[in-house]
Amino acid sequence: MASALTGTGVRLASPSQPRNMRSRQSARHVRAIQGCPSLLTQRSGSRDDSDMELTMLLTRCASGDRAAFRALYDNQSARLHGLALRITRDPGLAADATHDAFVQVWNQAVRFDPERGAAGAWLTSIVRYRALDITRRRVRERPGYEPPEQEDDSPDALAQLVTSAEGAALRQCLEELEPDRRSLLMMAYADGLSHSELAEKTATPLGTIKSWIRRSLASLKRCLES
Amino acid sequence: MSDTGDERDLLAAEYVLGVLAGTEREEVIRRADRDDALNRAIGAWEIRLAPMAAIVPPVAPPADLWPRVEQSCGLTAAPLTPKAAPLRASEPLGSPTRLGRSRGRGFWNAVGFWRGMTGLGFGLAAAIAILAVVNRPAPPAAEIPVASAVLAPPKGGAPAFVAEAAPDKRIVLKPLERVALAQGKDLELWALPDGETVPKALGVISKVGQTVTLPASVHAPMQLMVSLEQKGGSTTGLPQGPVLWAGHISALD
Repeated sequence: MASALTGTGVRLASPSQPRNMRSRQSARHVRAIQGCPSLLTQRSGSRDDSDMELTMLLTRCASGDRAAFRALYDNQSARLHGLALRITRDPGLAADATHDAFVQVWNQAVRFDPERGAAGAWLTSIVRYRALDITRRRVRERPGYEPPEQEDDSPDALAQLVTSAEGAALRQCLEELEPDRRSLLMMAYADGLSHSELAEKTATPLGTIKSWIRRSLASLKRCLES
Repeated sequence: MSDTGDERDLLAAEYVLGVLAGTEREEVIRRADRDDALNRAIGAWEIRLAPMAAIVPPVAPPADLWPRVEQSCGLTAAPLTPKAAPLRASEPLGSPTRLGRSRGRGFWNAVGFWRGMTGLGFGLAAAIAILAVVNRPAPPAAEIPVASAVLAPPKGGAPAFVAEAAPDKRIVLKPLERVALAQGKDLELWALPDGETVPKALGVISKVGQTVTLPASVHAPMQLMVSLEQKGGSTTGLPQGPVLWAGHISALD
């Protein structure tokens, strides 16, 4: 199949997700409703309320409710655009990724399963996959294209995770990893770096990177489930 | 958990983390179509890792992004843009406005849908051009497609299927992305020959692709559309659910 085209695919979060995953819903992104950008940095501590609100908005989008779509945009666009910008490292590409993600959300809101919940994670996945696809296609199409360097995370980046119960659990488990392993996972997730990009950035052999990441992910899962 | 299960779970984790690139990434997307356990593992990792997104500070998108999104989703009430208007006028799509009124809602709720269709034109040309390149080396003569289309969301967004039509009226549909389908739902394929106003049902299709043969009564050029239906497909002979993807197939001979 045409690799130039397969790259455009954005995987949707699985609709067949078991309900027990609701306990891992992420809720840090819920804010006061009306679309005031200055409120976008607020984080709610109440994950059920926040995820329920997003779920409700998505359900209304699925039925063609434009006001709900606008409210969702006001509520989530800065968060999702931040993720897209971080991965693409290019304002134009980031805007494209955020645009595509919202268009996809509107078109495919019917495919979001309210029973599954985890609306925030669903939205996060859509924009991340889209940003990854766009960035990697750009790299493929323009040999030699180097996205601008990303500033490293501030040391307190992990502190951002404690804004929800799930975030706090994840932070605790990340902190159990060696600092360099932890930073690999965070660079991969937030900056969208592949195995080989991580190897290059950290001047570490590719095989070592792969095995560190696998072991870190396995530890992370064990820790989260304990 | 078995070794295989562990392996699958780690693959899912690597995919969600984003460290897989190129063919490795595409292979996971393909495999998850057939492998429910992998699909579930991916969903679980998406939720597990999502809190990490909080380390990235929000950044307000540019002010013109919402109008763009609105436009792409066919939500704007503004008159057709100069760019879209001539295209729309030249499209032999029957009388979509009348259709829109007659059905009221859903995919026929038509201004946005049909406007989306016109916008597809440019993208289609580009996508077909790409296909023409990547289809090399040529398949055996009998299988040479004579026309192809990418099926994309009517309101804009990433295409999901490519349809290749052969002279014998067979159409091969292949997914371009991993298509997730809720339980109790099916995808149904429709053909709407240019100039006609009522789509013809071509049957339920698999999310991993399918070959269908056009009935004698259906002639290109035409729109191909995939709608989301209850299990078993529409019971009315018309799409009951939303059209998820559509594209235009030019003449088959």
